[in-house]
Amino acid sequence: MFSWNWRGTRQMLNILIRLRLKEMLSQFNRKKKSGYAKNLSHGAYLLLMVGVYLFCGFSIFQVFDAAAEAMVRLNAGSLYFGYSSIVGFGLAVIGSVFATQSQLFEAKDNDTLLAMPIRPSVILASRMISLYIQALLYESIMMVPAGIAWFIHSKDVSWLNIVCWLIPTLFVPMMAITVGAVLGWLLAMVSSHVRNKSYLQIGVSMVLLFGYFFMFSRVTSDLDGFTAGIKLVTGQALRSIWPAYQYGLACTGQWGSVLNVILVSVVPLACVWLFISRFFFYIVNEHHRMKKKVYVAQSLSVLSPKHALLRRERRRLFSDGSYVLNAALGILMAPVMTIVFLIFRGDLNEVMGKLFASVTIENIQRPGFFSAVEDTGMIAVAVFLCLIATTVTITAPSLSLEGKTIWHAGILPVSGRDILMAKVDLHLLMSLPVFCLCSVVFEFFLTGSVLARILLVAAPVMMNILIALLGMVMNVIHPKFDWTSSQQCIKRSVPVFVCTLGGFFLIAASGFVYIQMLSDILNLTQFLGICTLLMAAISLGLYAWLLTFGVKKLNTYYSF
Amino acid sequence: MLHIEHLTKKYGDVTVVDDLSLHIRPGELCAFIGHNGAGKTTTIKSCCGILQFDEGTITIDGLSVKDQPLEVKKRIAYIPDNPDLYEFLSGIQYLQFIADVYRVPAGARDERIHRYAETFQLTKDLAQRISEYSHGMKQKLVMIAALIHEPRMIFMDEPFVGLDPIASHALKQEMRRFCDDGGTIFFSTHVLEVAEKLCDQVVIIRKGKLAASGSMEEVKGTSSLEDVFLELEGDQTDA
Repeated sequence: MFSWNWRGTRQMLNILIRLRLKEMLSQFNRKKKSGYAKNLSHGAYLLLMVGVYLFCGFSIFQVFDAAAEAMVRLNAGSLYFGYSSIVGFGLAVIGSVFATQSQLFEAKDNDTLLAMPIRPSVILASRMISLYIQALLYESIMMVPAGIAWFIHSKDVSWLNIVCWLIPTLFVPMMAITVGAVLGWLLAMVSSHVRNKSYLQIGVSMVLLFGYFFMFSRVTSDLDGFTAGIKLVTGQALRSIWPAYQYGLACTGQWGSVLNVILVSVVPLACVWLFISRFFFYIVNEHHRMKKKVYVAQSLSVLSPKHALLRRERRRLFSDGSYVLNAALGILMAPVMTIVFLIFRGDLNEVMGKLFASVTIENIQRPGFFSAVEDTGMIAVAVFLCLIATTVTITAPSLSLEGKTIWHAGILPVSGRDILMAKVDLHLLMSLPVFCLCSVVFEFFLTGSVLARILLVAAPVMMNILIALLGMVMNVIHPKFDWTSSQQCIKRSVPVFVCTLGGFFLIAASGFVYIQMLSDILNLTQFLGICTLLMAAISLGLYAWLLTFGVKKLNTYYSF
Repeated sequence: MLHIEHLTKKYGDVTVVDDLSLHIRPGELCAFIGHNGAGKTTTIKSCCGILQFDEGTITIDGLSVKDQPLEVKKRIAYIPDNPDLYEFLSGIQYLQFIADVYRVPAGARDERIHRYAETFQLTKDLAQRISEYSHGMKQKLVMIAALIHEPRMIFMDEPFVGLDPIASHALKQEMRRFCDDGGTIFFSTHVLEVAEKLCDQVVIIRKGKLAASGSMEEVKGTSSLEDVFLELEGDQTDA
């Protein structure tokens, strides 16, 4: 007779959840650290994460702030929250699709756990809880600032209003996991029949990202339309997206809708959980069915050791879709932005004005500013390309990604310099031609002095070089070879954060220094010239460190 | 061929290898035996230049591992106990990478890859990603990679772990052939029967110190290698 041991199941679930949480937190750990140093490292990392989260939240708040003010005036809370739920839900789905695929269906410990006396449903439940936490974090980046913006502008906010907003907000990530689990399963099934899984991942991610940006722009455009009174506040369009409509109503205090949101979140998730549990053995073993590729002998090409190292780095990059998407997205973005410019070049002033709308300098906000000063268009584009360059972080996780294969670096007859420079070279070979091409295209369509023309190419090039070297140096100082998932190095490692935020901070700090102290002495072109020289000097310093102390440090990692 | 003089390696306050000295001549097949944690892997890694040591000198073919590491690495190969390879490459891409780094000429690399892949029965699997390989297949691949540049000396750390009987037999034959052709092999193992049958020389290490070394006949005399080893371990326990 079948009987369900609730106590045992609960204990097992607790153990597995603790395991998941430990795994999530292990990315903050650095080996060979203990006591005070460990706490300091954890604290610094946590602060960094909170800082990034707050920065993103503040940026989103800016988007919702004006809309919230107008929508409060129009008493259109349900519409406002309904729209905010769409963008929050979308972000949570994007954030959880690949996590669902890797954590539910392709987890490394599937075989180990299935061999133990644990029900598949319990294994899945523990993983779904950790996925829920991740989805909640993604969703909250959108929905918490949206909620705060609304409550700031509302005149009479009661605890009941906040509870009515909070309860459905906590349930929306469940819908995201349901969709993520279905998509993740489809992806796992398709990818089990595809050899180059990374290309599939890149393709799907690009579709999801562009879909999301399209959706985000539609939502903000609709909200702008309501705010400006161009569109009528009827909510007709939102009614067609029933869960979002119900969420909107729930946030305005309608308890029936709160219940609807809970049901529409919990029931589908429970169905998906039961369905996947039923077929879990089949799903996780599906990938073994792919037909083996048989080797046919052929004459092999010959490369020099340096080129062989470079090719190895290139293959590593393109074998991992997540690596491409996280570390080389800027390389894809730069030409996309250039094409956008070419298509909408007639509206450049408006586009640039919007881009720099948050910069509090009167002359930059002035319409026609870019035609007022000869070089400004070029300088703005150069700075913009520099900003995109900070998102290219190919070198930052590259040494950590060696993982347990680091012993090769110790045994192969190549110097530490060659090993490190192969990683830097890949970064530059991937990014420089694209950025240079973009700069050259802009040269044709913008006017400016000779110095500005030189800087339009030189500044993004130097920023790329700086970020490549900074990433490499940071990874040599702060490697993590004992990862269980490469995502730990690619997405959440200290070197990646330092590169992206460091580059961004450098640009922001330079702008601040110029506005506060140097705008009366130097014009923008001269200042960018000095900044480019400074970047060159810092890069030279980083390069020198890499070839001396960096190589020495690398020698100590071989026996990891 | 291999000269280790007064090698000492410490991890913090713990001395893992303590004043170890040993010599191995060209053409010798030498087994390196010791209990778990005796310092075998540390010694082998120090010889290969993977691990920096505190005191002593190691020379291979007259070249210092500390002062001329790249020249030494061109002459040696290393087979680790756990074959962690580049899983994003296919087997053939990995071998091609190794051949490029060791500058193996085009014709020679094709011939050697074909020969060794046939020997270890891996030819058909070379197009597959290494991530799809079993432990034994990875072990075979790393052996082919070690032989591809025809090194003068090979260091092996537990080479028989994970191999099927056919591959294990092929490896023993290749090891013997390699040494008969003038190459030198220094390998650690816990399989004392294999060491006894296969090797000319044996080195026994105990708590980082040399316990015994010499030709197989000298060390084991009329008893078996297992008896000698257990006797030495027994001495240690008594002490």
